[in-house]
Amino acid sequence: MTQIISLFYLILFLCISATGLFISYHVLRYSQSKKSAVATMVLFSSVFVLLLITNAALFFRVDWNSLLNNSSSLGKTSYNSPY
Amino acid sequence: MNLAQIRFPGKHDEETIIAVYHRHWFDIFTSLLLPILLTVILIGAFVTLPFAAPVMFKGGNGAFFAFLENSFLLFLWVYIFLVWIGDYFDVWIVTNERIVNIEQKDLFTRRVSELRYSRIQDVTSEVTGVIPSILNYGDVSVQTAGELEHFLFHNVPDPTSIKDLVMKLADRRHGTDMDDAMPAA
Repeated sequence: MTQIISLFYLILFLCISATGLFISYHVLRYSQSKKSAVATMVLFSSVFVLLLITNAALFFRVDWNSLLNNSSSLGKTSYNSPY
Repeated sequence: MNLAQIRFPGKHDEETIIAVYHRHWFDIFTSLLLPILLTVILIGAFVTLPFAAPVMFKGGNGAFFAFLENSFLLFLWVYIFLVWIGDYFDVWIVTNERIVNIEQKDLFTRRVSELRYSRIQDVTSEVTGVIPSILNYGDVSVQTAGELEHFLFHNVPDPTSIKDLVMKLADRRHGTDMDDAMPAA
């Protein structure tokens, strides 16, 4: 199950990275002046990279096995409790 | 903004840019209002939830909720820029030769159209609504000769002055054409 979550996260990570690259390309290619293109790029990419790195770090900090076990045992308890 | 530094596709060497118009800031702001509100709510939740519901953050749950909040912030940041690109990159460039409209619908849809002054027949400005009236922004519609659809400056600031400028440039062009058509005395 953890492997499926990791694979799903990898796909999401690649998609969001690609979107970030497309946004950067548009800002650099289609801005009317170089000055505004650079300012927008610095703002976007600095926050984007920071969020992306912290997101990956937080993903690997989560103990998915215990989280999934907890949620599945919670389901069993609520099902069994009336008996 | 220095008009000489502005670049756009298909600009002629001798072409002079007279004015560049983007959508009014309030129009862009209304598009960004929802993601900005969601960002504020997320940051608020990030700050207050550990105090309001500490049980949720016990053990491994804390890292999971931090990951969720970070993911939402990341998506919102990307979404804000996608909306901003769609709105701010809609631009109308008035030059001494023509009007160029660059319309950015999303990341992969971009339309560039141009209108020569000789084709202009009629220009109308329209301000509709309370906030547009207070902030003075609205549409400028340019009717053209022939079957071509009308050319629209959408939600631009001070539409009346844009209408006057376009009319002045069109009149000047028509005057030049008339002078060219007149036989030399």
